[in-house]
Amino acid sequence: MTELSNLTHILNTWIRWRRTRQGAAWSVRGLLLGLVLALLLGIPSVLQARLLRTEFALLVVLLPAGVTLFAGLAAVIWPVDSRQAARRFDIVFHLDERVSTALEIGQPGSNDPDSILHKQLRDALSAAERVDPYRQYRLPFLKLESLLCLVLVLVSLLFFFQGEAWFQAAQLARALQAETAEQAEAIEEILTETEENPNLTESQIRQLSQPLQEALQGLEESQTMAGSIAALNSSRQKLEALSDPQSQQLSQALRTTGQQLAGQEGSPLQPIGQNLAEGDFIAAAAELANLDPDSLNSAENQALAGQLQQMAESLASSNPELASRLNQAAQALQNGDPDAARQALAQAGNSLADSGQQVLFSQAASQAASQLGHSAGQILAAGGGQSSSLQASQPGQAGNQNGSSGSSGSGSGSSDGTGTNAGGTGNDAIDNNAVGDGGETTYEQIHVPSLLGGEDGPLVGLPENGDEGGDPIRETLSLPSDSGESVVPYTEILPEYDEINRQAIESGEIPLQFLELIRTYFDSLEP
Amino acid sequence: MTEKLTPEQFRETASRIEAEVGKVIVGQARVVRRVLTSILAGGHVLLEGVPGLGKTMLIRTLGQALDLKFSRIQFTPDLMPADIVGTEILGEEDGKRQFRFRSGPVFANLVLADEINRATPKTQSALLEAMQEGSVTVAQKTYTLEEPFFVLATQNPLEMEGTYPLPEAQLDRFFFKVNVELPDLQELSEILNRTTGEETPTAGKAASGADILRMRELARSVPAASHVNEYISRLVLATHPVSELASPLVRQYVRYGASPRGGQALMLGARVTALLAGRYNVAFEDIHTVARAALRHRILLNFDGLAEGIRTDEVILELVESLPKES
Repeated sequence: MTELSNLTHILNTWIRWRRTRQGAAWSVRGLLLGLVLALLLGIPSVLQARLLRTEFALLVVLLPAGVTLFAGLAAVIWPVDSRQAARRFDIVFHLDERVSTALEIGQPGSNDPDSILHKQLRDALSAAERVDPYRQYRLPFLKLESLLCLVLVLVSLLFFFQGEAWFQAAQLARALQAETAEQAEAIEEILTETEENPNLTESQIRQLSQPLQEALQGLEESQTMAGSIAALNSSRQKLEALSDPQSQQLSQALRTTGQQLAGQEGSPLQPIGQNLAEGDFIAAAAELANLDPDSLNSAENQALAGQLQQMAESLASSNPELASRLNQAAQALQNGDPDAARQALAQAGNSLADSGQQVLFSQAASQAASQLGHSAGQILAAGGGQSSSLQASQPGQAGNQNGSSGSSGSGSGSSDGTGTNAGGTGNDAIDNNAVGDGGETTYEQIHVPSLLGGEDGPLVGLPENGDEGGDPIRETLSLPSDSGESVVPYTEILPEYDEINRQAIESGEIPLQFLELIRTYFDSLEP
Repeated sequence: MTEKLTPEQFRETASRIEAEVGKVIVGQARVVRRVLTSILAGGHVLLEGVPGLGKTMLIRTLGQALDLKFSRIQFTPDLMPADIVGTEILGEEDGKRQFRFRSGPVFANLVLADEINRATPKTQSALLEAMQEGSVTVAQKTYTLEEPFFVLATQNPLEMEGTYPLPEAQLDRFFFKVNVELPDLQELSEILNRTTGEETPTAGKAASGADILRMRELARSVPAASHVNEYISRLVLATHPVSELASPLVRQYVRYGASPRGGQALMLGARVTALLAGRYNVAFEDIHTVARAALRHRILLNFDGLAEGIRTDEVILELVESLPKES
């Protein structure tokens, strides 16, 4: 019994060691599998600019680690049949099936110690005891797998350290996505406000809501920055078309008139003036329509007539119809015809109400257009483009815009091409031809005639002014001036190119990863 | 009841027999080992080789080393069955004339059937019946042959004219078929020295018939693990071209594979080989050792195999090398 127990003990030791060995071998294979999976997932994502550097690092570290752990543990805890293990033990250590036979037979039934079964058991035990699995069956070194792992790790490191452009593009794409969502939210707020505006008619609400909803839909459906901006610009133009350019003047005229009237103490037009000054044109219109000449004495009516005439004069240029009604009312009061005056005042009130409503509608349209323009600028800025040009193109929006948005020169600024200061000012030291925060810097003179082929090109001796000897190397037709310098001012050329750049960015022709580079380049050209 | 033999005694006796045979037979250790294995397993042996290689000498020497009744039958085309098994002759006993059975040369422990393929099939079958049944029937009377009973037959692969090749069914009754090869230079020189001098060496008695029976009994008690047993079964099945275990060579060149007798020969031969190797269990190595001797006459090549000169030994070797040890 002891011999059989000893043999079983040896076999169990072997099984434990074999599990360890298997665990080690499968860990390496798991690492290889994990790296392959990580790179299969990671590299396409990096190349499609969908993965940030940290995410890539996490992927190529955590996935292989997880698979390694899983494979190793699975190999260690994998069920092992003791018969199979004994057979393997015999084969590995060339024991000629001694151990497997002995364990299969078990305890010999015969008590005769010289029986062949007893001898076989002793022989098997003796052979098994001579085996040292730890020395004779060492941990495996999987050359091919290890080499492949090394190669894959190097590939991962290569992408990690050399994939800056892709990672930056991914960062821009993320920022763009977030900004798009934020702007969509802002547009939705405007839409809600518009729909709940009590001063607008249903028709006006519908007119205003439609472009906003189209803009939202465009943001949702568009897959690219250019598409989003195009959708916003299209809706913005529709809203701008709804906005009356003269309504601003009318509003200003009504407010000015209101301020004048509000200053006239004791006048029946004072409350009307106050409402006008506060921009509540509808309330002012109601007050005007309800003005009753019968409640005033003759002198007061005359005074009122004068004030109405004054009011009509101030509004004659911005709203002739209202001015006409007011003049009619003043005329009636002067003629002592209160009924006619009442009627004219009612008509003037209606006219003022119409004008007020038109002003409010125009303001709402303008405000919505401004928001869409602002959103387009923000999205463009988030995507690495210039927001200033878009912001500058918004007519009459300066008063409604947040001054911080769309400021030229803000955003990212790369110094030596190794990093991005998102939203910062790019204060790092700037190398030659590097781009920063729009500040002044020095660049290689691109059109230096003495350097053919750029900074590293061959130096050609060109005759200076007044030099003697040698023919000047020049082609008269290609040089704009005798001195070899441009005759067109730099400040005139730059806006043209800047416009072309902006159109190219908006049309989506520029790959995302180059937007930042192009933007910073044109920023740096700003005089 | 005789005392049981121990494995050590088994090995010692076998060594003694081989040593005695070795006094007469130079070299051919592998042939001697296979023949001895077959005898200890209780099987008959077919020795095949060109004339003059000492086949007959080997068997005769073995007969000398084993204290057994030895007889030799030279098979010729005119040999009759009665010449082998014996016949009833008319004689007079106590004044009466009656038939008496006169036993033939098959009534011995060790029968040398020399050039067995020269006798007619009818005569061959008379011997083969004795081999299979361990008895002969003459004039409706059955006579049991004394144990141990071994037939060691020889045949010449050359001069096939006027011969009667043994049918497959009869070949199958031989436990082993052993090919006798030419001796090498050193062995040949030694043969010349020993056989052309003044003294002719002779083998002494190394074991008796009872010893052989006890050795046979011990050999049958050697344990074999189930996967070893299964391996033999798979090996036998793999010799059949229709089996899914068959190797490409088998599928291409074999017409019919080994019978279950082949498996029995493998197992018994492996058991004896294990004991001779000083082990107490059957190992794969033992099976590989006896595989060719046990299977080469049990595998029938098809026309393609014969036409291309494929040898059954090549087929067996490929099977042994390719068949996995575990299913």
